[in-house]
Amino acid sequence: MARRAKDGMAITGERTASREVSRPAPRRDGLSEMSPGDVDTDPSRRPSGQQTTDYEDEARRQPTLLIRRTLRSGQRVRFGGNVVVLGDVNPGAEISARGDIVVMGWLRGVAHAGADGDEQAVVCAFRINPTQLRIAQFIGRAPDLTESALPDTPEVAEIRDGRLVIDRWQSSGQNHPGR
Amino acid sequence: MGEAIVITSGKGGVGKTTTTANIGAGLAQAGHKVALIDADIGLRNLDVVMGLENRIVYDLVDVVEGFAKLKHALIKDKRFENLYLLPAAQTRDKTAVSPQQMIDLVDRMKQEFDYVLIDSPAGIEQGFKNAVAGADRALVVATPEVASVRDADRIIGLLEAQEKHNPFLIINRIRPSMVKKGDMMDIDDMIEILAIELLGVVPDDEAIVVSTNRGEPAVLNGQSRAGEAYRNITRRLLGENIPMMKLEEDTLFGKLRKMIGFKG
Ligand SMILES: Nc1ncnc2c1ncn2[C@@H]1O[C@H](COP(=O)(O)OP(=O)(O)OP(=O)(O)O)[C@@H](O)[C@H]1O
Ligand SMILES: [Mg+2]
Repeated sequence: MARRAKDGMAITGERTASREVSRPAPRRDGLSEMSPGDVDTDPSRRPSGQQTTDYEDEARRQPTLLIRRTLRSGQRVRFGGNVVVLGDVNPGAEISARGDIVVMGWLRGVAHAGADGDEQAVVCAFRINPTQLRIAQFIGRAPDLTESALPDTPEVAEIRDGRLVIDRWQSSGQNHPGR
Repeated sequence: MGEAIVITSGKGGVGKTTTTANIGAGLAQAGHKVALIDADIGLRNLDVVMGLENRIVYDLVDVVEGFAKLKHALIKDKRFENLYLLPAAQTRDKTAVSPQQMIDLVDRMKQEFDYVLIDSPAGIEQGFKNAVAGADRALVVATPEVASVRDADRIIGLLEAQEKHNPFLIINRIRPSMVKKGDMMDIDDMIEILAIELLGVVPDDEAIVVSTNRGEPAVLNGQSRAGEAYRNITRRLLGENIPMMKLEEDTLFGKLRKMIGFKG
């Protein structure tokens, strides 16, 4: 399984431990590691109890751009990292990111995650109805459904078995068993 | 010190000039001192819509170039003592004026008028930039068509980039019967995408065509539905809280009420 640079990056120290920790539920782990003190209850993973998280290093390798507004028609964002939008991405707007794209709103424009070829990249949004969606070299468009027929739930787009699929977002990370 | 409001859209032919003329006449009727600037240099027609074409001596470019005094270029309206038009030059193009010159001109006019309405040309180039340069606030006109909404969205993005926030939306040429059949974008969908405050909805109305050709803004016509819509828009612009008018179907506008809320 091809691992992205991001995997395991959250943890410095023993390599085996980092993979274990980052795999089952990256989001949850991320959260727990932010709390002070040792919150990992599995003693087998922390023999020395000395692991620290180097988020600075992770941020350098995969920076994240935060956009606190709606991207409107004609506005284009290209970024060599992840992109998070606190707003909508309207028809006619475009995001291209080397990493993941997260939209805290409607995605109706064009989004290209993993723009440098990372097939593990994902696009997630509160509501996904993009003009066009790309992950790495895969290109897709949303089925021609009226918006009222779309699922009323956050979704994630990713490459699964060589196909670009959109699926319901599952918060515990079940969407990405391989990551 | 008055307020300068630009009427703009991106897409052409959606009703900017119609809206400028009607809101201008509406504000004048309400007793305010109003100046209209036709910033569509090279394609002027606000003068025609106002029925003032035959009184033009000097134009905006003459004023900006110092060839004519502002007071000599301003044309007084036929109906209202307190309504004036600064016409566009017909024989020049958009590059005859710079954004800074527009800012200076509009600032001067704001000393004298309560409202300065600027009729923007279509597009996003120099003419648009000139038109918005001196404005304090923008009214974005869109029709219920996908392309028009797309262009309005582009314009709102450009306005935001110029720190001109909180433009108002006017939806023009709505046909309730078509919306009902699903042949037109519905108002809620437009507001959902554009996410700006709705100032009013103007129905598609033959009276507009008639009034345009006669040079009589529909807002002065008590019989016209579009005229009524423009009267309401004028009052909302003045800070009054007027509910959206019902066109035909209860259902279409029932949901809209929650969108109305004005700071005044
Ligand atoms: N509500 C309406 N009902 C019917 N006709 C309308 C309505 N609004 C505008 N029109 C017509 O549409 C045409 C275009 O309107 P107008 O000139 O106001 O648009 P504009 O946005 O200023 O165009 P341009 O981009 O060329 O400056 C005119 O013929 C006008 O009479
Ligand atoms: Mg016009």
